[in-house]
Amino acid sequence: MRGKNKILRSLLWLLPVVVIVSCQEIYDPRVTADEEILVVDGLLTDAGMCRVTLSLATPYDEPEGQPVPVYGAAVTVLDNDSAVWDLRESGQGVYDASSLPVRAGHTYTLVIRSEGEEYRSTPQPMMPSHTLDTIYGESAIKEYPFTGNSGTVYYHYYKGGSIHLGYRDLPDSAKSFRLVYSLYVQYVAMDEDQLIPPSYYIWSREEFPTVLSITGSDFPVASGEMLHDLCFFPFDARYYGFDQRWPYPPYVGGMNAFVLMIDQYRLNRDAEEYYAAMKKLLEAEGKMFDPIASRLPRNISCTSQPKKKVTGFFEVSSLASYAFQVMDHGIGKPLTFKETPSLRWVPKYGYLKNEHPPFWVSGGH
Amino acid sequence: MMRSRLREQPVSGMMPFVISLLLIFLVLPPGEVRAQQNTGAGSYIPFEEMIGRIEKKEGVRFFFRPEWFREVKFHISTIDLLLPEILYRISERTGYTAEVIDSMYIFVPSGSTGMERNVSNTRKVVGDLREYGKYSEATFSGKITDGKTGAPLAGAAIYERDLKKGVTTDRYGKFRMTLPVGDHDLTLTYMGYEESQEKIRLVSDGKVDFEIFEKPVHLGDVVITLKRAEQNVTGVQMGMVSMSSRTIKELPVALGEKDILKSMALLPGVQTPGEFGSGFVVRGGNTGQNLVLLEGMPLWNTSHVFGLISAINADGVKDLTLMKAGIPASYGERASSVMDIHMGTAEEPDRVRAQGGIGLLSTRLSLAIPLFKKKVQLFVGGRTSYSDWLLKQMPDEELRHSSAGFYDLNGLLRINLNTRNKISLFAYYSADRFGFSNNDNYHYSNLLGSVRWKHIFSGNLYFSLEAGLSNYDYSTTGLDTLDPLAGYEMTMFTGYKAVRGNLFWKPHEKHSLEMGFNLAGYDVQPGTLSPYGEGSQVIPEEVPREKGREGSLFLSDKIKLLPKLEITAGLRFTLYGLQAPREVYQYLEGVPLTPGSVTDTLHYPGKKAVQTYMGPEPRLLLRYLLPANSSVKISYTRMRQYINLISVTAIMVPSDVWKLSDTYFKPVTVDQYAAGYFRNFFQNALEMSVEAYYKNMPHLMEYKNGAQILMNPQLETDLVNARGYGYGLELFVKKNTGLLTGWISYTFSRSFVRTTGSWPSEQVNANRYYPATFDKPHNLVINAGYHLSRRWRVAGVFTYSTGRPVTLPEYKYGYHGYQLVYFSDRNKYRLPDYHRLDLSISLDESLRLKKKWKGSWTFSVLNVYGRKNAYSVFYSSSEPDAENDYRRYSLYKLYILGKPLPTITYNFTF
Repeated sequence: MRGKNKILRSLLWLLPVVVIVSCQEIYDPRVTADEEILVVDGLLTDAGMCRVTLSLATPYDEPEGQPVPVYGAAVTVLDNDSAVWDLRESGQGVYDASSLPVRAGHTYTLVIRSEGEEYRSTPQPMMPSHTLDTIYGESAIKEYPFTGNSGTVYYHYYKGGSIHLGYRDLPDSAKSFRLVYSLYVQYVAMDEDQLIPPSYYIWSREEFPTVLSITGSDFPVASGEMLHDLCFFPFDARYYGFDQRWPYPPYVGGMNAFVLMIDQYRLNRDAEEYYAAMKKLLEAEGKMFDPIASRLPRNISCTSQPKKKVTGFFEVSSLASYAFQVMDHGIGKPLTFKETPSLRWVPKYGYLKNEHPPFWVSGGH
Repeated sequence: MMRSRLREQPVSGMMPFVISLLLIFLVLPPGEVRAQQNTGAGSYIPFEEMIGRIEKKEGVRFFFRPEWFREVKFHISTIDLLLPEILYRISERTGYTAEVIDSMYIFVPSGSTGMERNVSNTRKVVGDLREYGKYSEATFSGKITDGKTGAPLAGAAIYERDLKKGVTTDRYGKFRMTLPVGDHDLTLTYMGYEESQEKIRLVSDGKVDFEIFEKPVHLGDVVITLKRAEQNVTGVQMGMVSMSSRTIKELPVALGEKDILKSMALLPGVQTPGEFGSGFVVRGGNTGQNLVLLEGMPLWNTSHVFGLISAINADGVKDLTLMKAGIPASYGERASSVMDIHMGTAEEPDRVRAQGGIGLLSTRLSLAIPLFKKKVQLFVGGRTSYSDWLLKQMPDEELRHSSAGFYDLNGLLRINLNTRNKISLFAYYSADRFGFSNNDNYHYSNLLGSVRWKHIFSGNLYFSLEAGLSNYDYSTTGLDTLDPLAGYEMTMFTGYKAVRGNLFWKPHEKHSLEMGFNLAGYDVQPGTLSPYGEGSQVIPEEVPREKGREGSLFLSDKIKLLPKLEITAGLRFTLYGLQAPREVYQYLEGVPLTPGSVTDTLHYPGKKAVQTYMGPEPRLLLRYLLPANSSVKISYTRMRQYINLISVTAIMVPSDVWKLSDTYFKPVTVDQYAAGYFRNFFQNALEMSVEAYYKNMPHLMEYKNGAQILMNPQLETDLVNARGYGYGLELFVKKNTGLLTGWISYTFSRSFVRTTGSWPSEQVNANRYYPATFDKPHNLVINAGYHLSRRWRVAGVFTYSTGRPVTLPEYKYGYHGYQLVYFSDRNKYRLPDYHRLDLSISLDESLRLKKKWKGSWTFSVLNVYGRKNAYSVFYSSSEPDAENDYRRYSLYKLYILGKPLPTITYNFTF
């Protein structure tokens, strides 16, 4: 009997091995990357702004570095009404123009001439702008994993706001949006012992560059309606590094206000397909059932030498921008929103002593 | 240190090891497994052990009754004497003398003039010699008894091999047989007893009794196929592999589970995606092109735990056959292969028998129950996991919050109504569930049922009628606590119903015919979406259901035209229709198919066929016998498949979508030409075969880059028509007998595909041919088992294959602040080569036949040298650090078994 128990105990020790033997590691295969591939990063909005960045793709196995800009190209945008607009080179491979008379319903084609080759996009329709119908959210708690020095994974639990957007009356032909959001947060700190001035008025503008938020893959919630999870942002000062960025240990304070700024790009069919594929690429977690990786679609090709490789995308989208002050009323309760002027222009971060900056948001929670 | 070096070695570094294994495998001669026991302490060893050592030393074989020498021991130095001296000493000591007959040494009592057993050239005379020549045939009777106990043996068989005539004994062990007068070699068989050869000279009617003896060792454990030993040469079928459950039992497989599907991948032309992933690949066809029949009904998802182990409990399997080429006309519906699995046991159970096992992941039990005086046999089995407990022990918090489990149940009822009518009822159910971090849950299940009636008109004419169904359900739920409004449930369903009849007629010994029909219905629900959880506002959505009907008629004729030439010719004709009601999108001509190019929607109401396809499927097999126990075979097979598996992953997963042929996609059609040379050596102890094949696949489906498969009502806009071809060469050497058994299998195979789209968006790699996802040119398997003694057995499996094709990033670039990569042409590169060694040692069950509870242990180590075989590669974001050269995105290699994995299993029967 004792022997049987010993065997059983041995069995139990073996069990966890089953799972822990699987793992992943960095893989650097040898690949062939000896061609010059033009990368086109273009955007034309209905506000008349056009910006095209040209660069060369770098071999995958090269160390991280700055992209190689393409200088001296002739970059032109064609309207289907035969209008032609030349873009101006402003350095570092960037070509831009502003105040172009762009109109919804028209189609636009990007033409690039560089190093003796001509590249041309397929005609891209400009979709009409669509108003954001609803923004709402609630206060919730979310866990954020982080790895300790010993390699153990721990979790921070942050209280924050979960934000959703609602759309109505969307035609099937174009119900996709690309959403770029940023968050303005402000914080007040005071002397811990005296709790009297001087006070510090601190702010930060948070970008979320790794998040690609697109609609289209969301499940419809009613006929012609769509619900989109935009983001979750913590209310906690530690998340934004206020306790480290402004090291005033004797001072205590609290979050004072949040302003959520949203740029909503309405995508045409090609752009919808492109960003959906891009999202899959960026969010692949390497799970076993991930789709097989494949090249992203593109709407640019080399017309002078069709076999020449080129990648990138010329996006033509209508743009609507919004800014909302977000107010919290406790866990599980709905957040309230107040439309405010955009604060996208304020410095990335900073503080003032004993005085508000001019853009200071009053009426924080 | 050694392990680390092995892991880093390139494939070429493995070759000395492989060659050593090959040499060991080939050099050892075939021989009978003899009884051996542990040496024990001291200088004296048991007689049987001494004989075993002498056999090895002298290269001779001994035969004897173990009970004669049971208590006898000899000094170990006896082994070093010359053989005549050894025999003399044995004779002096025991009173038994070795007689040499046909280079075999048979111990008989010293001074005896005749032998009780069939070991001399002397024939037993049956009848009265004075009547010699008086009759042309005579009837003799007698009794077969246990040579040790004298007990009569009911059901023992006597068979005259040359005349192909046999009888069995009644409940008292008595028999009666009529044969032509003259000399006959009789074969006596009885389950659990040694097969015995008896030579008689039949003169006139008379009596003769026979004794047979229990098997001293379980030779049956090393039987590879259930066919006759020379069947691989003389049979007309080619491209066929069979495996008995006994063979599977000896293979060291993952997690202690006997796994019939993964075991099949050790045979030529069959490969699996790796340690994980459902299904298997046969001769370049994809995983959805294999028909896995469980008691006649197709099993849609063949695995548990997303492919970790197969969904078929091997304990309940009687036999299975995989047909890769020359598939008989009675089979259809899939383009690459047919695996036919039968449940139950080969022998009718004489009492309630059970077998089961306790492994790392699951426990299982199967019962064989005779009922109503053996007129009815019931086979039931079940298996269940306890992986939930395992997950709770994991250090990873998400895994701790996860749950996983599976179970399967099977039952088979065989009813012998009378000698002419038999009915069998079969049912099977399997279910899997997996919940990740309490939020996302996956469920999938198979339900199969069938009923079969077999009517025997006469010994050479019978008919069978079968009806059944097979349903596959898949569902997934998603519930984000931060977003309860978007909680959803998605389901998919694949259903199959069929009625089929077969008539078999053998008008002549050299000629047989088989004909029949098959009516099958497909019902595919590609996806439904519904709200899940309180507060969910997801609107229900449903991708239109697809229904199809497939009717087939077939005729197969097998005829032996010449003594050496045998032909099987068959024709199967299929008619398929995609059924209404259905809506078919019409697209703008002259532009690629996209959701935006829809111009109209045609509604097909009622039950009208929306689209029909039909065509013949000819089959031809030819075998010509050659001298020296060898033959050549050629075959041609055309298969049509009207339901196709759409997958954008490298492996078959539960959420893959089955798609019926429709207006935009023709049925997959495969033409296969195959030829082979088959030869056996050393009286079938060594089998060898070489097979070559070429496949033409004019109609295939491929997916576009970035295709959306799930919940896509316009799947045709994400798929493209394609064509392909494949070819290969398979070498197989198998050693059936002796202490060392096993096989070496090498396959060279290629499989290519190309799209045929007119528009760039409908083209992959600009319509150039590229390797299919499962194209692995080289595949080598060495499987060997060695009996250390009666019960101890060691086994090893070495597998090597070329890495599968992958699409890798070649460049990186920035776009809108994101780092993106430019992927190569599809399948331009390959994963690193795969190789792995698994070893096991087993203590088999007790050989005492009267012992009721018998247990066996198997201890295996998988991936002995800890090779990190890449299962897949993926591009993913990560925190920049020194390990990834401070890159925000990196390419990662995922491996399933990165270390040696020990497993232990206890199996039992009673």
